[in-house]
Amino acid sequence: MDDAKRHNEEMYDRLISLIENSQGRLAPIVVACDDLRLRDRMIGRYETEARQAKIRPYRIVLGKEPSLRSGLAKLKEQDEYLQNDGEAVFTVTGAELLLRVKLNPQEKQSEIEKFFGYLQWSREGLREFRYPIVLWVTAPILREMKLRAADFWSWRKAELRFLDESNDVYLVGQHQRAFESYQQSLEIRRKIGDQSGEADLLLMMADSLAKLNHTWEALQHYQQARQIYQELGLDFKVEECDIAIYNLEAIIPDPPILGVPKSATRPNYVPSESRHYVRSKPRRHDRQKILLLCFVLGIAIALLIWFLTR
Amino acid sequence: MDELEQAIEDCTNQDNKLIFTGHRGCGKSTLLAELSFRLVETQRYFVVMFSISDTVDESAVDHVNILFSMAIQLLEAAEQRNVKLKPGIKNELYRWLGKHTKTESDSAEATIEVNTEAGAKGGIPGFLEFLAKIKSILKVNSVIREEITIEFARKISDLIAQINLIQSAIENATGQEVLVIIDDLDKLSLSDAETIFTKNIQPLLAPSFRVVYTIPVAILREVSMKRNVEAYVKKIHTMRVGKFFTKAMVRSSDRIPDPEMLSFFDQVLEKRFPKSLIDPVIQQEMILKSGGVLRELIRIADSCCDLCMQQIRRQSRLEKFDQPFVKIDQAVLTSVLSDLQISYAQPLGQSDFDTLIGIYQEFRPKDTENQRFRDLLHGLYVLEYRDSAVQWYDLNPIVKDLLIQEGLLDDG
Repeated sequence: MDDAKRHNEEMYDRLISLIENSQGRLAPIVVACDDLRLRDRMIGRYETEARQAKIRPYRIVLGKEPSLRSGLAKLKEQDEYLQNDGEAVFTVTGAELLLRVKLNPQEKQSEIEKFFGYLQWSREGLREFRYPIVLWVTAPILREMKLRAADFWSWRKAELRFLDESNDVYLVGQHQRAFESYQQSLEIRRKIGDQSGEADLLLMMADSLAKLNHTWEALQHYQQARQIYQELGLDFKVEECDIAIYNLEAIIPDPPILGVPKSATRPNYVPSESRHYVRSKPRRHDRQKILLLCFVLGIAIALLIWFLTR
Repeated sequence: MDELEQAIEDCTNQDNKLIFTGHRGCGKSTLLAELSFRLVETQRYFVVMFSISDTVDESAVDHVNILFSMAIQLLEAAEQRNVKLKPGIKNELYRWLGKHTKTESDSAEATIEVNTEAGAKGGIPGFLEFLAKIKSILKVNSVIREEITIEFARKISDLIAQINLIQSAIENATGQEVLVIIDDLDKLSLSDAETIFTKNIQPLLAPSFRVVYTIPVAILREVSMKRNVEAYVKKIHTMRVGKFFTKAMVRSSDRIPDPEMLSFFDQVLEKRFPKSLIDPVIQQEMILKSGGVLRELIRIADSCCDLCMQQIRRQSRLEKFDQPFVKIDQAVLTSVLSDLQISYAQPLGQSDFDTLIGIYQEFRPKDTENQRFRDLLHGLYVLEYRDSAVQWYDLNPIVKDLLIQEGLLDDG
């Protein structure tokens, strides 16, 4: 926990330094943080510091048409201070709430797909906003952004990651609510035969379950999602599932032989210096299961030898 | 740039469309802007360069909207540069524009009438406002965009005729040849690019003046798409990343980087911060770690500066004013490169590592059409170089360091 706090303090230091030193320049700062309460705390903190440095903070929450450029343009249109190039910092949130499924089958893109499309396309259009723009996303969205908005990604000023510091009641409630919401959407997707949407929802449910420490259920959901992505030929999503499964299996051992499906192939790579993959020791009761199994096997072998030699 | 400039000079009436591409961050837009300035200085060309994203939403890019944008941008450039188009032609062109942005046509025509009458009072700002309004409508109003697409898809020759009319009017008024450069078409998805540049390439080749189109570099990897484009244009002009070593020398322990290329990258850095802030050895290491991709050099340098600013800020906050002068040293560079390694490492799986090791060993992938290889190429994990006619691939130096650190490659 202390490591996470220390890391996050360092990230905050970098962020506030970037905000102060990027005035007069377009500076998209992409920040990954899965803990929304931590995120809000950090935002509150840097906005306070920014005000003290005479940098005015503004907020944009992405909606159904998640265009970053439109949000910035709208603010500037309505604000004389921005029109006079006053120093400012923009905080953009709401990406974590964008739907990955198309509620209306006639729509060409889901909200998250539109978001990536807008980012990729309106990169040039952002040039007129010479400010630090702090774009808060989740870790999965950050990973996807690199592929699906590669040009915007290439233009980033910085990439920062905040680690989860707590597992408190507020977060548990949040993940539980998210899981229930995804479950409802999953039923709809299955009914209309939307495989891609089904896989996306299974992945999100797995993420929520993992955060709630329901690791076996999370594993099963990741595996189901992986299978569908594999059938659809979405290799980058298969890889995402593999990485998530690997991380999950680092916390729990391989499943017992009897009655539980085999885990998916685990990717072998974990960055050795990375702060983002946490390994835990196998639990005690699972080691006991392995010992019991060995004992039973030993008895069986002894009985076999006795039977053959009598 | 010389190659493009020569190709523009060599254009004939039957063959005056150029296709230009290159990897992300290699400096395409900068080169095109520089080319534009160079050609304007000759005073022989009326150059109009614009980004397609200025006029059309990503979801709406098609050959019709590209051509319609061309018309608008040509008229806007003519207004901005005070080109005296014949009033009759001007009215006709503006009425045509107003008509095809339907929902606003009444007010648009009224604007034309007002501005025509107000010509003596300096109507130019009025025309520019009108054109800005048209551009805005095209960008945000999907209904009008679709109507334009439906109408002109059936009779594209009408649209081409209007564009050629604008071209003639400008060339008659200025005595200069029109050249249009359209940037950021390379940001399109491969499927959209296929629809535009293979199924609908002929209308894009139809305007009678010189046009430079950018296309996604991924098209070069799709054999059928590449062939289709090459069937209509002489050559696809490709901008390559900078190359410091030849394929023969790149693995040699006593390799020496190309001095000319090194000097070019040195100059890029020297324009951005004074020499006193960085040791020359560190500067060279920074340049080589970019792999020859200009934007990555800027990113590394920028990140080093940010880290230094962070140190200064920390010192100031702790009131430690007796510290040594902060500059970009080995510790700063190493920290930045380490962060970039982590960023590169995140999306990788085991099969990616196998692919990367294979490319490092063989200087090429097993299959250039493999989608994951293309993702690695476009994500700059793998860089493409050329020695004369020989094309080869190598790892991004930061990705190579990552593999060495993980024990997957030998150091040196």
